[in-house]
Amino acid sequence: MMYKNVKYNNRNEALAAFKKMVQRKKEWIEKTEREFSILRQQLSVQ
Amino acid sequence: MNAIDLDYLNMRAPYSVWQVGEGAYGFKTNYGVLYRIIFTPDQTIWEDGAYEFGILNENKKSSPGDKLLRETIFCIIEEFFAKNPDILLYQCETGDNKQAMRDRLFLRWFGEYEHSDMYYIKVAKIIAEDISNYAAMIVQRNNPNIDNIISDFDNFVGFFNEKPS
Repeated sequence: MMYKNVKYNNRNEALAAFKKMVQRKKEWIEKTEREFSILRQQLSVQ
Repeated sequence: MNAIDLDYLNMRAPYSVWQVGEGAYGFKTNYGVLYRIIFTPDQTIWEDGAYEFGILNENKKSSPGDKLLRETIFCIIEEFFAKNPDILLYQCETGDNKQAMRDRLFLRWFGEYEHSDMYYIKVAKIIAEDISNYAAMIVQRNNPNIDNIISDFDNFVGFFNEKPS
């Protein structure tokens, strides 16, 4: 597979892309924490 | 992303792994802690062929002494590469300011991993808005494009070594 890199013209463009990556991870963490919490509640009911 | 072969994975992984959703896998350790390993396509550095993975746990505490945990995570990563011979990216969570510790732990685990010689791993410290972030790239050493992949990663993280304009 050929990997075509994303072109950034300057630090600010690269920083904006990196901040989006960090934000996506924060969203995963929040979603997963909610799922863990629901799972634990279900387990405590059983 | 091509799905991991769970039957094959579970023949090798010390902890039983199940699929939680697309690109998401779960397991529970002998200490009762639930884990999620998540793979998601990432277009930050490459338009295609790169995935970010994350290791999330229920109690947010590290388990450095749990060898079965480490083995399970590496079995999952191996299976990921068996089905997706591409690029993995990893960033250490920064929310609790323990990202440097996570970076050291991951590198130590990787160093102790018996097949670590099959992979090239590179870590970069990226300072963004006064927060130190640690981002890693893992690629199989037999990837025919490894030199270009490393160069692309270096070029991206190189932006953060420049002084802000």
